[in-house]
Amino acid sequence: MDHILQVKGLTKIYGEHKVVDNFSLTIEKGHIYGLIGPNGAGKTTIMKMIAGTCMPTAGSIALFGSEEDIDAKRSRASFMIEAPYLDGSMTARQNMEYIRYLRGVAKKERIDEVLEFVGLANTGAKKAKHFSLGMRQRLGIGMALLPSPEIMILDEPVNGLDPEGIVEVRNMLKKLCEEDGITILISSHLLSELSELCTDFTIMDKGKLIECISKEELEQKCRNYISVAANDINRLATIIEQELGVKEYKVVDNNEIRIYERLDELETVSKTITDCGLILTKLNTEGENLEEYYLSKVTASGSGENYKTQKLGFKKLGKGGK
Amino acid sequence: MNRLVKAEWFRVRKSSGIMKWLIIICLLILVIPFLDDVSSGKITATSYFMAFEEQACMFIPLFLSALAGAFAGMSFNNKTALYEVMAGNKTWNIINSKLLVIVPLISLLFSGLFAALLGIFGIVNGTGELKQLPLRMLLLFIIVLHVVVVAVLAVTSVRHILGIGIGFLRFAMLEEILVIWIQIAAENASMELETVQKMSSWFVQNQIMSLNMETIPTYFVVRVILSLVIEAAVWYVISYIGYKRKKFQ
Repeated sequence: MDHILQVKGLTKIYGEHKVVDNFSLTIEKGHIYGLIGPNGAGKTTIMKMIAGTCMPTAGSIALFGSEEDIDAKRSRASFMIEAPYLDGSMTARQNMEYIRYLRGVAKKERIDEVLEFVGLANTGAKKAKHFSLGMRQRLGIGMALLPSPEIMILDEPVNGLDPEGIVEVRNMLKKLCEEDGITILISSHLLSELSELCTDFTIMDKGKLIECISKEELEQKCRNYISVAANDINRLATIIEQELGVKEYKVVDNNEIRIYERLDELETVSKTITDCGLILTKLNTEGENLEEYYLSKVTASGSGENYKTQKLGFKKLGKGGK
Repeated sequence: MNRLVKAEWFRVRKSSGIMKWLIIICLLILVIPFLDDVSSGKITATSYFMAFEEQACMFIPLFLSALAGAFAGMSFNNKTALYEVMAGNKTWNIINSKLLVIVPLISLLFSGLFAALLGIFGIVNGTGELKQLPLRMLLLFIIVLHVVVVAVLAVTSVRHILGIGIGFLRFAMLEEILVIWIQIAAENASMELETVQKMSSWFVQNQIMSLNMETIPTYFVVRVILSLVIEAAVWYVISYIGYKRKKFQ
């Protein structure tokens, strides 16, 4: 295995507040890792520590196989953390030119290539301070891409983008990974996007690592089930166990039961329940997605409820906001 | 370091129109003596020099330190300074690149304009009576270097544009307080004027005013150079430690 980034026991304490708590992560070359967690989980702090703009309280970071001379190794990586850092008084091209000088990119044509790639080739003399949020995000991604890094670490790169922009960035990042072999570590609240994009997922909460899971493992764990609800949930559970002989089922939210067996016997399940005198209010086959899997992991800490509230807020913005 | 210097020079040239303010402020400072008696009669090189030292001793530290601080601070204000860290550059290279670009830009521009004005007056109306003019100009250049270096390092020490305020406090307030304290202490101790002058010669404003002395003594030259070296070293260490601890806003 080719480990491009290894983080061991990373901890960050501000005063009495432990923002990151013994976090460990190994990133393999050529993968896209999604870092998932609620607000305040420590995602940005971890990225800052890897980028060198925040000193860890404890732990180690190894880039490209070694902890030595990590500053020099950062020249092979690119970062976009919190928000794109732009000089508002300069144009897109000038911001890119600054990075070109700083990172020692020899070819001036590379700027044109990258601006074209991120869709900012025609911004002309427009200063970055007049850019929309989406344009700023694209420029930030472009500035991270310019030096042809071996690994890119992006903190919520689709933040503020419209749906078309989100799809474009997704396709862009996929292309970079598949065609150019760039390893990507990305954090986002849009779990649906991460589930489309990432090959691996790292779930964290309250500074701690909860789980690292590959896409294949996630698909295994997020199984299909029959979702059934009726007018009497307790009787329904009894019927499922005794009449249908189902052993693997789960009661969810006290009003729904998920049956993980007999997935092809929907008619039998329906007839058995109604023959026993219950009124069915829901019966269909469903599957857990990344969002539900993630919520099941963080709900115990109460953060899952916060996420639901944020998500609803985000949906409202999507419908009626700008 | 070459890349850092090129990037810093590019940033300074391109960002925010501050270059035009540099030229405007330098010219404004140089015009100040004309607001006073220097405009009556012929202006020789040394009469302009003496009027300049008297009138502009306050403005050089304040305005040039503010300019230098603004040049250095803008990249912290918009956080583009973090790219220098994320690119894997060594701390001393990052600090040195700012010094190598901003300090020569401001000090050479200002000193060059000043020397050009003196040259014009000297050619048109003669040098005048003040001796050791080249030495005085060199010392003024060193004092300007002192101001600009401290201003840049003050900003890098806090890694925030508000570091401009440190330069202001240091040159406008702290020096005034220290000089007044020395004078009071000297009066109480019945010290000679020469002793008081020697003690005050560590401070930039007094150094500028003292350039009008009849003869420039050796100790004064040594103190002008030493005060630059000592203060620059202190601020450099503070900046270096701050960067190493990675405490960024």
